[in-house]
Amino acid sequence: MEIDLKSDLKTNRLILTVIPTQEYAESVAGMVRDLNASYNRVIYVSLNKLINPLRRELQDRSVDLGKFFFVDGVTKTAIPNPPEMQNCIYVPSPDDMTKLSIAITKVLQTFDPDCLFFESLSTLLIYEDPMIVTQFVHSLINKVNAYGIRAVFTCLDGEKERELIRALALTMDKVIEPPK
Amino acid sequence: MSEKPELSDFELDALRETANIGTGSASIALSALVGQKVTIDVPKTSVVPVRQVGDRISRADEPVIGIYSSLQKGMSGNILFVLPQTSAFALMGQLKNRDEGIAHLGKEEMELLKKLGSVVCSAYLAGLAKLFEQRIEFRTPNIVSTVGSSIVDFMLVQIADDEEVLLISVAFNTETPRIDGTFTLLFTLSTLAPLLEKLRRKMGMA
Repeated sequence: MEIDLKSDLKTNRLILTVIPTQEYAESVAGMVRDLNASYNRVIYVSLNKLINPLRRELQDRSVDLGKFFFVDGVTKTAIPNPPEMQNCIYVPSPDDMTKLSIAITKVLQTFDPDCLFFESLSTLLIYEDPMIVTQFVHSLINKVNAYGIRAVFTCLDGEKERELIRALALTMDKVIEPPK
Repeated sequence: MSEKPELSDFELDALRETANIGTGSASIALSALVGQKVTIDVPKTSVVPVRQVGDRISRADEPVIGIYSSLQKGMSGNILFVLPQTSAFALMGQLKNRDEGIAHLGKEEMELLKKLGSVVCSAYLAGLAKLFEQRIEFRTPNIVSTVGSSIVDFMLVQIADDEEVLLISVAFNTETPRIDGTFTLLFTLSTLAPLLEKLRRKMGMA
């Protein structure tokens, strides 16, 4: 699924991308490449991949890691005391949305980002119902708006995601969905 | 690091048979938990680089729930129980007697998954312990939600990227509700020598 964030983010500040499962990894990689090319400071909220394999994968794709600050919600589930890393803050687990929110706020305050990339809302839906996840995203959008930056959210194109996508459609400037 | 052993076809067959025993026990335990017949495939045994393990266990982009643990006594290795997300939710629905399945994994469901992981891991390893005539212990399982290609990263945080691993993997399923999954036992080749020695002795080859 072709997503042209470079162009979409010029006219839309809040974007939700809905991606078919089998195209997810490639689409995310393409979006990160676009963010890398368009911005100098990006917050990458990662809820699926351990920090080292994620950084390695991005490096392999010639992404400039110096431009990214990672809010990592998953590494601590596997390594309780991960080594401190520059431009990375750990959250205990992806289902701890309060700590996730606090961590994102901290990075918004200190990193002076241009854009926030949230990967992915589908992970939150594993642990909470769509209403709670919607509230979380609304609160995050309020912060993003307060800092005047752009934000891109990803989620899978699944049955479980339908209610969330419907609920968020009114809040987003653009929802990019696969062709029906 | 100790020397990497070469595995003969016979040894791979023997390890596959070993996996059969473990998987048989695990599937009986799982069957008792879900109240359904659990069908298991023939175990696959292969020696692969660490980076290829994820693709061997599940489809790369598929969202999965992994229940994983490492062996801490008797043997050195990792055990992983992978379920596609839809299967994990169906399994939880079955365990909680909810025909409609469950909507999300709350704290209660996560605990239930950990317990299920412990029961299945215990059953799997009991078969191996019997074969090798020694006690095998494992750490409390961890639960993770990720995509297929990344699941193995969680298991392999202590293993170098350039390692080769012996992967013994078997798929299982139930019909109603449809639950698919994979049990995987993984040893780094560098830690496999004592296990092979025991296997050879057991088979009168040493």
